[in-house]
Amino acid sequence: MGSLNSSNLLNQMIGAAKVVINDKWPEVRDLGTSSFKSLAEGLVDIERMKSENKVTDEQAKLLIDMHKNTLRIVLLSVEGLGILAVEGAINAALNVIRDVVNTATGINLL
Amino acid sequence: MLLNLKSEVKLKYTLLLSIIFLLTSCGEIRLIGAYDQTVDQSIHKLSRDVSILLIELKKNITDQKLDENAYSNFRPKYIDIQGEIETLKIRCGALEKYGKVRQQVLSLELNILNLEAFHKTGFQSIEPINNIQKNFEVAFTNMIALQNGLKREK
Repeated sequence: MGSLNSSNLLNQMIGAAKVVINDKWPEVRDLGTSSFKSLAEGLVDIERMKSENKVTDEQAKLLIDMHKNTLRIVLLSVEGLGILAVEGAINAALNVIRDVVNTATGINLL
Repeated sequence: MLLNLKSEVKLKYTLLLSIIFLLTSCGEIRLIGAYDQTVDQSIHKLSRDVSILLIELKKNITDQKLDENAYSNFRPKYIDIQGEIETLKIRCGALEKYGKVRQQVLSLELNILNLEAFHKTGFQSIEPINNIQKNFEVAFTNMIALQNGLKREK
C-alpha cells in the first residue's frame, strides 16, 4: 500500500510555487498546475514500482532525483514567467506616464 | 522659511521629473534576458534527441530486442547530448540576465546524467522509461514555455 498521495504532493508543490511568485500565480497557474500534477503522479508511480520490485533502490533514487531536478526547472519557469509579468506591468505603467507627459507638454518629450 | 520650503518642493519635483524621464526615455525595462534563438533551438534539439533515445529504448523492449538496450550501444548518443548541453551552458553564461535559463540547463544536465546512470543499471521493462519520459516532457515543456515568454509577444 503506497503512502504517497498525489493530491497532497500537488498541493504542496503549488504552495511552494505561490511563495516564489506571490500574486503572479494566476498568470502561470495552468502550466504550473499541469506540471506539478505530472510530477506528483510520477512520484507516486515510483513508489508503486518500488513496492512491486519493478525498480531497485538505486533506480528508484535516480528516478526521484530526476523529479527533483525537473521540479527545479518548473519552479524556475514559473518564477521567470512571473518576472516577465511584472516587467510587462512596469512597462505598461511607463508607457502611460510617457503618454501623459507627452500630452501635457504638447511635444514628444519622452 | 517659506523660501526654503519652496526650493525643497521644487527640488523634489525636479527629481521626480528626472526619474520619470530616465525611466521612460531608456525604452522598455528588461528584468530578465532577451529571447535568444540559438538557445531556443538548442533546447528543441535536446528535447528531440532525448525523445528519440527513450523511444528507441521502448521499441527495443516491445520488439524483444533487450540486448540492443545495452548502455554501450547508446554511449555515443549520451556524448552528443552532453556536448549539446555544454554548448548551451556556455551560450547561456554569455547572455545578460540568463541566470534562470542557465539554472534550468544545469538541472537538465543532472537529469541526463541520472538517465545515463539508470541506463547503466539496465532497462528491462517499459514502466520506468514511461516515468522518465513523462518527467522529461514536463522539463522540456517548462523550458520551452519560458523561451516563448522571453519572446515577449503581445
